[in-house]
Amino acid sequence: MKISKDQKKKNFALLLKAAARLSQKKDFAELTMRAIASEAKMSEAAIYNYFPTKESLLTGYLHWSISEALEKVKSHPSFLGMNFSERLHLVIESHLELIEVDRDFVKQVYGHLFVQSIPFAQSSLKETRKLYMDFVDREMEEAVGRNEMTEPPFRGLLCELFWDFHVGVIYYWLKDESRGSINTTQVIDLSLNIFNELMRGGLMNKVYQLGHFLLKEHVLNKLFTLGKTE
Amino acid sequence: MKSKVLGEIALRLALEEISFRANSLFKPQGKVDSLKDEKNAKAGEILLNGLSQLRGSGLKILQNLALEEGLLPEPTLRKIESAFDQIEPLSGMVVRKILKIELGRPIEEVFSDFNDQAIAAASLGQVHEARMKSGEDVVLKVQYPHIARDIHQEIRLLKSVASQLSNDLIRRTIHEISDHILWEVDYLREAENLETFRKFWTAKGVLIPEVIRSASTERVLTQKRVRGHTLMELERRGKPISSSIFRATFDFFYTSLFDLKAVHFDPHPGNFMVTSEGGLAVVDFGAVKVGLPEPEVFLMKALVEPTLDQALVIEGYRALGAQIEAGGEAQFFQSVVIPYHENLMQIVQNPDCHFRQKRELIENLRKTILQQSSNPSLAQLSPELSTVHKANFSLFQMLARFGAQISTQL
Repeated sequence: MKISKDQKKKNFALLLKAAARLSQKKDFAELTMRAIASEAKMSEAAIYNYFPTKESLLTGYLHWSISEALEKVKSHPSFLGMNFSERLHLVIESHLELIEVDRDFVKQVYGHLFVQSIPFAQSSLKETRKLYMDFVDREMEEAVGRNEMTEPPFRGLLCELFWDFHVGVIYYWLKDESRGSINTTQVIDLSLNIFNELMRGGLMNKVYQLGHFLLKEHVLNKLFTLGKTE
Repeated sequence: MKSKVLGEIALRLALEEISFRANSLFKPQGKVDSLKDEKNAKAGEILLNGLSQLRGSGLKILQNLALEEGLLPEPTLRKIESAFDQIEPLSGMVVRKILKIELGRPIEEVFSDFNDQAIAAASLGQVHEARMKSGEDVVLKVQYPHIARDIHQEIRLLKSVASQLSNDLIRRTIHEISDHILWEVDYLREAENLETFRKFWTAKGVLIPEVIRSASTERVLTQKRVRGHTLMELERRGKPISSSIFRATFDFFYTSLFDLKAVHFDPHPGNFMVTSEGGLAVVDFGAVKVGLPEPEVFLMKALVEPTLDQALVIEGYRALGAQIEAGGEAQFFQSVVIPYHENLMQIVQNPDCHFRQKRELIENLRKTILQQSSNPSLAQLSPELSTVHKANFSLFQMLARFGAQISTQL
């Protein structure tokens, strides 16, 4: 029987939510694919169509929740009126809101992916990282278009920095015991404020110009002279 | 960090004290007085610099210290005022999150419109405008995260620092203001105060905003918006304020005290408004006590009577803990009560009181009350009474600031 794209998407999420639910009662390492499939009311064979290994459920969860958050923010009533950092803030908050119910599972996802650093994790997360960085890159471009900031140097690097920041914030959130995780909200806000200040004052560009000058005058020129002498 | 800051404050204040005492030795009285002024100025600076490092809650403590006229020198007071102007409000994202946590649902479900830009940011929280789903325009006071916890911790630390200080005035003041600051972080308490005052004052023509209970918690206070301008805004814009507003403000204080047995400890021009209909509105009820003990109200009332009844006044003082020996009543009355009353009567019960001309007198009244604590008969006197007196003088000072000229007959 051919399964529609929509149904596939639903099944994918169902399995992830089933794994998350079971992880609240049992350690993820002790879960079997059969148990997860059964919790999702699916056959054991079917689960392998979506997740070839148990570990792929971990990266799959992160990918699913981030894509959902990125989708969700676009329909937020205030999204269009927000500036770049507010939009990024909203993405992180939306993501946290989405994974709140699965907090215990997310702890395990983080433990396996970033603390124990399963070898395949980085390569499996490539797609998620790209999805996120593409979003940030687009938003940055729009922000430049809106004259909110000047074209930042090392845009690609900045996008990577935001991805790392997002991952780091979730880690902070997992440890945050403040009421309603308000501390996490403040950490996001204060961090993005620093970014705003850097962009507003054009400091990033100035640092880049200084770095470029030093590199050109004191490193490249020297290398060039050395080459000549030889 | 906090204990370090407070430790530094204590150490620096102690060093100032030692240096003052060493310098005062063998100096004539006039010189000692000027050294004392200098020491107080330095103490103010030290407190300002230290408490400013504690941010929100530290600023609140400073604000209360600033209310104690004479405790902090003029330049320090100006610095405190400018520190308030520099408070950076929380971003809309953080405020929305706080509201979601407090109200238990996304703000879109409560408000049809919410302005992310704070219209005011103070030491404990900030104020936003919004429109309820039901269409009412409201203002929300949103408390900064953790401020209540910080205030409790800082007050505890500050009290322990204060107990080591030899400066009586600062020590006593810190103890007195602590309670008021703690009240101010409980918005449900403020909501109750608002409702009590509203019930009492609505029929008497003073507008007290209505609390929206469904959108209020311990850390969020939502009230219907009052259309008009605070006395402070009108002062900044150089707009004239009618005498009837000053008289209504005066009546508000005394009628609340005598009939409602409640006192507004912070008669500040930012807390009184002239409504768009030209009436008086009072908007901030954080620093308010409802349910003053009967003897306090009784004595305050007796002291503003044009003719003093010695027996009643002595009875009032005794009920509040004054140790007046039998047979010593007349002496106490003559030396303590009469001079205070004579000064007070130049302000209260005056058919044409020019408050600006009474500034020195107001200061003398304040000093008289402050000095009472060194009188052995009054050592056990309820400390709250002096706080009520001080609130009274703050009202006079506010009226003097605006150059109010009104009849103060009660």
